[in-house]
Amino acid sequence: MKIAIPIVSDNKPYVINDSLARAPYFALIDNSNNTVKTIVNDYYFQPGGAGVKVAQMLCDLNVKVVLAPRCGENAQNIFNQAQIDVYQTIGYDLQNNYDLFLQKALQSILVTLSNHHQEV
Amino acid sequence: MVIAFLSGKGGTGKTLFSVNLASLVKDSVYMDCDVEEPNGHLFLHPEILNQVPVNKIIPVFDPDLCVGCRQCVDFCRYNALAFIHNQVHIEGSLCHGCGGCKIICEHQAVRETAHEIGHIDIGKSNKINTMTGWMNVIEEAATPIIEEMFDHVDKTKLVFADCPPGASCSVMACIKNADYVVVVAEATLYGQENLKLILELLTEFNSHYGIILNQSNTQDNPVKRYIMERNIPILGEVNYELELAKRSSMGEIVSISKSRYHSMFKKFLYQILKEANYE
Ligand code: SF4
Ligand code: SF4
Repeated sequence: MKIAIPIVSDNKPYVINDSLARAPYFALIDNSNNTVKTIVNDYYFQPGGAGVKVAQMLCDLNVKVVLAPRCGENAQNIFNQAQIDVYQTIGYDLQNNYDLFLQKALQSILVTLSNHHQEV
Repeated sequence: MVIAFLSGKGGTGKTLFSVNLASLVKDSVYMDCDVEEPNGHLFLHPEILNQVPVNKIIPVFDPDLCVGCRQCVDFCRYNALAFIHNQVHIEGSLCHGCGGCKIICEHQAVRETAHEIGHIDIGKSNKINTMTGWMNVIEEAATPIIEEMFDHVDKTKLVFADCPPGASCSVMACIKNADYVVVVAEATLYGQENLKLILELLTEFNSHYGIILNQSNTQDNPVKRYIMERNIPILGEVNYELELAKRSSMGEIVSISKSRYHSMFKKFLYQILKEANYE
């Protein structure tokens, strides 16, 4: 399963970015083989609707879970549609939040259409 | 003739002035363009004679005809579309109803439907005509409602347009349609910052305008200094007065109910009409 997290830069240690749609980079964690990849957010400079574009991109990358401090309404709607679960991060440390997610200690930001989050 | 009342921020007295001035002119039109939060009706209590719906055209996607080429998604410059689980998904609040996605689709999978985004109440209050724009709560774009109001209004009458606060697209729609602009400014430092923005906009639109200084009896008045330095016409000044504030907060139209205020607003009216070259 792929997990996406907005990050401030692609330098380690990764720091979580406040905004999801306007994050410069995303960290993609694949928990099936424990790898972390970073990708550039091409929609960083979009004047409007960046949330929709980012949500589309993450959906196309087959992301199933997003960890972020907050999530705008437009992006939420797309994530809902795509059955991608979004969890609210605590603090800005990526590793710490990933651990909290694995321990099921993060709260869901949205009421998703799926019950996916109960399975992970 | 359309006289638009603007302010950089909310609560400077735009509605107070537009309502009281409109009430002095028989058969004028008071037009409430602050469609997110119209409040002129709280003063005028108009009798609604007609209600005009305002629609936005939004696309609907037929999953049976759609082949998933994503041409529409890539085309939409407002980023209102996404392709999720083999279907086009639309974020209605981002769609501007430009019709582009329907044109670009080669598979006739896009249809258009009308979606109501608000309405206009057309009415009467004593001797004046009223027009109130209302935007539905979930909508984001006020401009189409304001444009529709200006299309409807009888511009041979004297129109007092109470505009939204700020310097957004909806304010620009008002400026574009106005023959003369009255900026109601509040004499505070915060008011000055907002005033700067609105004056930049008016300069860009090459508008003809003047300023009313509300609550100008503060000791240090940065706004007045700012206006004087730039030689902008001051149409008049009002000092803060508890009685005026109280009566207005109760929805009283003081230019009609109290002779003292009647003459005060009449003076403003003459000054505005003179500056606006109204005949
Ligand atoms: S352009 Fe037409 S066929 Fe292509 S994705 Fe959009 S609706 Fe479907
Ligand atoms: S009508 Fe225009 S703005 Fe609306 S979805 Fe289609 S292309 Fe985008």
